[in-house]
Amino acid sequence: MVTVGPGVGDRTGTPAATRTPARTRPGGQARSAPPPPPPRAAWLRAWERLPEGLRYSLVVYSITRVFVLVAVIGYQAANPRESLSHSAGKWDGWWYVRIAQSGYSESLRPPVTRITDWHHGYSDWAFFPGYPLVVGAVQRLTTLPTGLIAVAVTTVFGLLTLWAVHGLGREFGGREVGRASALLVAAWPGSAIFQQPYSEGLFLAAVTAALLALQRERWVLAGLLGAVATATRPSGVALVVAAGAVAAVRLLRDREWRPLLAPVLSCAGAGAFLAYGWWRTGDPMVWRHAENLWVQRFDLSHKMLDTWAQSLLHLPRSAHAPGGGQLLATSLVQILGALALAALVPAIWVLRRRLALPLAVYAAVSLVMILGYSAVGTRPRTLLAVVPAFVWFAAWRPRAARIAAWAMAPLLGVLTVLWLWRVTP
Amino acid sequence: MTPALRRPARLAATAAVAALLCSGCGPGPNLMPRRTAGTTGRSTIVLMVAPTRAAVLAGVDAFVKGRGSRIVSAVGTPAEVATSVKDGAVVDAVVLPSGPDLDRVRNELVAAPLPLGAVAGTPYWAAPVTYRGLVFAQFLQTPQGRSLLHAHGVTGSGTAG
Repeated sequence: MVTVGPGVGDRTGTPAATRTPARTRPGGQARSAPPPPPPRAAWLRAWERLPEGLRYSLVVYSITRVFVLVAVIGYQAANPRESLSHSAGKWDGWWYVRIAQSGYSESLRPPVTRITDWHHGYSDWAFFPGYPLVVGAVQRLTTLPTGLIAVAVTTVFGLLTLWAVHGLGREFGGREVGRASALLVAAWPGSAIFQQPYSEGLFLAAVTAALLALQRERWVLAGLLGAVATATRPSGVALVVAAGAVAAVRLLRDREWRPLLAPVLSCAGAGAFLAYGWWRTGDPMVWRHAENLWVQRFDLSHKMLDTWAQSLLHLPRSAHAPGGGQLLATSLVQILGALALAALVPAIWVLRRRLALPLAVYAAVSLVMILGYSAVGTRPRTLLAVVPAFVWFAAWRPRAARIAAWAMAPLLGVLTVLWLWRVTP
Repeated sequence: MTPALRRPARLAATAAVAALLCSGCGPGPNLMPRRTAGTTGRSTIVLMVAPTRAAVLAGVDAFVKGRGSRIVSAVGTPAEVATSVKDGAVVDAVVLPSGPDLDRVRNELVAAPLPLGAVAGTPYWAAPVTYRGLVFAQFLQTPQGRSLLHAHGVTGSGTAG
């Protein structure tokens, strides 16, 4: 991560004079030398030693997290009976924490201690192991509660994601684009997921760093980071395809085999998980069968559009039906995501001659997956996976990107409350 | 992107999208429940085998009538029913004869299979996959459920699974 991280090569950006204390030269020139600067606090020196991209990411991450924090505090005040650990263990977070604690089931459906537990109707095999593996490892080292560790881990990976996005943007269009890209991701409402026990933090950090490594033609590193990504979320397949496209082009054009290392290594993460699932359950297709239980089918958004129509065309009756408010909120959030995607079109058109192959292929495959599966849909959380989109938008209109970012930052709090309430992230 | 690279890049992208579409349309559950009894409430999905069809459907109709609920069901061979459960079909209960197909689904059940009785000497079981399926399976063991099963050719009560 560090070797491909943004800011490598520029480090602190601090002028040399401020870093190097004045030295007394032999020959009596000490009197003319400027007085040594006052000693700085250790934390300030440590801060200045951080790469510029990491420092900027840390600042915007901290500022934007205030909206999330305020939302959590507000929700807890309104729902004092709901514990923080219960709030953190909702939706997919429950499954990740469970896998981190107890590993995967020996069957498709998990065993339950109460027959009324609805979780038995679903499957833990739909969740890839990268994130729960990290959470489990940190939990064993610290012995802190798993739910707390899960949120802390994803928060840290959220920061690393911003740093990597900064690097990708900088690679694409310079320092200003790097900063605007990181700010856009930090303020994008879906990034509130970095404070939920979800795998997005690890996945996005790995996939963005892998794209950066592909851009810099560091094939082995790209492959290793790709392996982390494919072990973390099934959407890592988009990275494999992007790495494969780059390798195919290099093979055809230059007869160069080494780029093939990136897609081959990238497959290792998902491959290891599928092999483990086969060994553990005896079913080589256990992941696909788990997806069936979660009703994850490729339907070209048919079900999502149907839900939008039912929610919006039959207002206000639909809002008052049982579960109607939840459906309406989900639809509105997805429509927000779809509108953001639409805003991307002019950016792609303007930048069409500058789109690098790995970023373009990765973004295209990610979009096909998002728009193809209704169960995923255009939720702000899932759109985060289209990392290059943030870079392109920032490169197209850096100033507008910054303004848009600060304008939508309060939505981080709104989405946090919706997720804590009843809307699936 | 240079013109020399456009063609292989397009080929690669097309192949990727095709592979993705194929993977998304992978094998789905075998049996598609088609018969619906009841009009209100959340659906309980039941898969059954042909020899017990009439008896179990009589139980289904009595269950939904008394509770204001809905049951969606399908009929298949024991292998089809077991494969649907193993392939991740959204199912609440299955009716299967004793044998390898019942053994295949045992670790997918929320509770032990409940005996229904025998048809032509073969014992049949109501195997609950979810709690809702268990409620239906337990209904088949009530005096009302038993009398309906007996009226449609299911004899005896078997032993607990």
